[in-house]
Amino acid sequence: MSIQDGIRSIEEEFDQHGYITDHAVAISLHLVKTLQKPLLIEGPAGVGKTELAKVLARSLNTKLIRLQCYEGLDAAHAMYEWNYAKQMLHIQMRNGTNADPTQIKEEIFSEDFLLTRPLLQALKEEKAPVLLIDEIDRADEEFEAFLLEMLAEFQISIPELGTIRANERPYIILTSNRTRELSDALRRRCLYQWVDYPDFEKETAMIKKRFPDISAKLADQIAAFMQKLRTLPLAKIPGGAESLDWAESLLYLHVNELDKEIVTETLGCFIKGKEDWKTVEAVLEEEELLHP
Amino acid sequence: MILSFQPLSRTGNLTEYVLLFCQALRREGLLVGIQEEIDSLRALEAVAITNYEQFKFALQTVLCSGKEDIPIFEDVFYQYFEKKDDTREMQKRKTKDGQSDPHSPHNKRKSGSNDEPMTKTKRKQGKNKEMSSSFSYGADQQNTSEGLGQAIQFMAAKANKQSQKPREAIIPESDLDKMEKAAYRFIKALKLRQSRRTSSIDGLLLHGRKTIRRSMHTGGVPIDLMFKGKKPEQAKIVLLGDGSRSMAPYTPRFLQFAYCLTAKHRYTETFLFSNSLTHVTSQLKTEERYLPALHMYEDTWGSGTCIGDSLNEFVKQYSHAYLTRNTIVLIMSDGLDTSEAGQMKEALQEIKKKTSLLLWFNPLLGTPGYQPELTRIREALPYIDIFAEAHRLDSYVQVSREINKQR
Repeated sequence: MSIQDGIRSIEEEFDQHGYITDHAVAISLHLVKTLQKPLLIEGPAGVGKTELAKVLARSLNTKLIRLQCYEGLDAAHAMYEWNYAKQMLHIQMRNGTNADPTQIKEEIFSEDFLLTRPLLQALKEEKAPVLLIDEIDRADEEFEAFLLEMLAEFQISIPELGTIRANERPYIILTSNRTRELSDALRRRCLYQWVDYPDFEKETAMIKKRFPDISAKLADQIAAFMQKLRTLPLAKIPGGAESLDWAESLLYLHVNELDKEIVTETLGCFIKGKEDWKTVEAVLEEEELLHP
Repeated sequence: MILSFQPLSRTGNLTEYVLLFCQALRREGLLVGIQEEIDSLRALEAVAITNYEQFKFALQTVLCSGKEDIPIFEDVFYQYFEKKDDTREMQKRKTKDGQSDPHSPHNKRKSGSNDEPMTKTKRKQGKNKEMSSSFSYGADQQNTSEGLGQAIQFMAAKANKQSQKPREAIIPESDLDKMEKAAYRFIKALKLRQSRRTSSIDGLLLHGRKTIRRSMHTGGVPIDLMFKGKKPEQAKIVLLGDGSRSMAPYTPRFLQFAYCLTAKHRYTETFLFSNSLTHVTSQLKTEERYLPALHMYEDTWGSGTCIGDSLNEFVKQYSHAYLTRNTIVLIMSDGLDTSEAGQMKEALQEIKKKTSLLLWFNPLLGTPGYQPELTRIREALPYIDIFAEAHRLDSYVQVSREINKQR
C-alpha cells in the first residue's frame, strides 16, 4: 500500500465508522502508526477528541484501554498496585512452612501479586491496543512525570520487579481541554494535533453521516445555527457533540425546519448554563441566529 | 507549472533544509530539539513529500506542541516552503498580519536559555526578507515520484536579520531582603485568605484504603494517616506589569517583587506588556545566585502603553491555563492606556469573572493630589478589589495588610 493509500484508508475507515475527519488529523494518525509516538490532541470540549481514539480502536479492530484522568489520580490507580491483601495472606500461609524469607519475598513481589491498571494493561496486551489517556489536564502535574517513561520508552519500571516493556507498542492518544498548561516534557514526547470546532461543511457532513434520515435542509440549518452560536460570548460554547445531540432530539420531535419556537424549546440540548441561556434567548428575540 | 528558484546558496538536500527550518522554529521559541529534528525527518519518510499538504501537516504534527505554536509554525513554514499556488493565500496572510491576530504567537515557550524572544514585528520583517529566498512548491511536484531527495531542490534561507534591538530589564539588588519579606507576607496573606474557602468536613474523615496502602511501607502500621477530601489547591498568582516608558521609575521594584514571588511561590506567572504582551516567567526562574536580566524587545519594554490590547491578549491566550477561582491577578500600571475605548474594561471584566481577587498597583496613587479621574481608570475601578499605590518598597508590604482587611 502506498503512503497516499495509507492516509486515504484512514479517512475512509473513519468515515465508515461515522467519524468525519480532515486531512490533518488523518496524517497525524498515520504518523502515530508509523513513528510509534503518542499523540496529544487538544481542543475545546465536545469537538470529538475522545471519539477519535474510540474510532481509531474500532478501525484497527483492536482493544481500547481508557484511563480517565482526574485530580488526585496516582500511579497506583493508573499503572499498577501490589495486591497487599493477597501478599499478606500468602505470607501467613507460608509462615509455618519454614520457607526461606528471600524466597517468600520473591514470591510476593512477582507478577501474580500485581494488580494491573490501564497503563500496565496496555503494555501487556498481545495485540497493540489503543490507549486513551483522557483529559490529562485534569490530572496533577506530578502524574505527568509518572507518564513520561511510558510515553517515551513504552515501558514501566517497577522497583521490586524490574522493567516491563510493551509486547506490542500501544497507540497512545492523550486528550486535553487545556484547563491547565501541560508540561513541556510531556509535550515533547508526543505528536501534536489541535482539533477545533467543525466548520459549516464538516458539521453538516457529521450530522448527515450520523443521521442519514435527516433532511438536508434541517442539517444545514443546524450547522449554520451552530456556526453563529459559536460567535456569541458564551461561557460554554457548544461543540460538535451538542450539534449531534440537538439533531437527534429534533429528529425525535419530527422537526423538519428550525423556527424560533422549536429552538427555544430545545435550547437545553446545547446550552448548559443559565447565563448562556439568557444570552441566546436575547439573541433569538432579535431572530439573528435563524436568518442568514 | 515550472518550478522557480532564486537560489542564494544551496544546501544540496532536503535533510539539511529541514534542519535549517527546525532551527528557525527553535529561534522562534518552539520546543524543537534534536529528537524533534530526527522525528521530522522520519515523518517526512512516512508521507508523500511531493504532496504539499502532507508535507506541511507531517512537519506541523511533529514540530508543534501547542495551539500557540501553530501560527508561528505557519509563518516560518511559508518563509521556507512557499507553494506557488499560494500567492493569494500569502497575500491574505500578509494582510492578516497587519491586524490584531487572536492567535498572536507571543505565547512562546523557551527551548533554550540563549534563545531570544521574537516579536510580531520582527517576524514580519524576517518573513519579507526571506520570502525571495524560499523554495517555491509548485503543483508539478505533486506528480513527481515519492521519496526523499527526488524532484526537490532547496535553497538555504538567509540568516534572519533582526532589525529590532533587544532590551534588557535589570532587577535591582538593593533592598532585596526587604522585598523577599514583602513577597513572603503577600503569599501568607493569600494563604490565610484561601484557607477559609477550602476547609470542609471531608478533610476530617479518615480515608481507609489510602491509609492501609500507605501503611504497607511501614510494615502495616498506619503511621501516616490519610484523609478524605481534595488537597487544598494552592493559589495561583498572575502578575501583569506595565513596561512602558512612563512606568520606567517603578518597574524595577515590580520586577524585584515578581522575582521574589517566583522564587517563593510555585504557581507564579509574570507577564510584561507595553504595546504587546510577553510571558517572562521562565526568565525569572533561575538556579544561579545572581539576579536574572530579562531580555525583551521594544514592543514589550520601554515603548507605548496598550493596556487594553495587552490584557485582552492575555485573556485570549492564557485565561484557560491561569485564570481559575484560585487565581489572584495583580496588575501594575499607571493606567495611561492608548488602546481603543472599552478594550480594558472588557478584559478586566473577564479577569474579574474568572478569578478571586484583582489587584491594581498604580504608582501614581503615591503622587500628592492624584485622583483616578482618567476615563479608563474610572471604567476599571468597579472590577478592581484592591487599588493600591506602588511607588516605593513599603507599598508592597502594605498590600498584604490590604488583602488581610479584605478577608
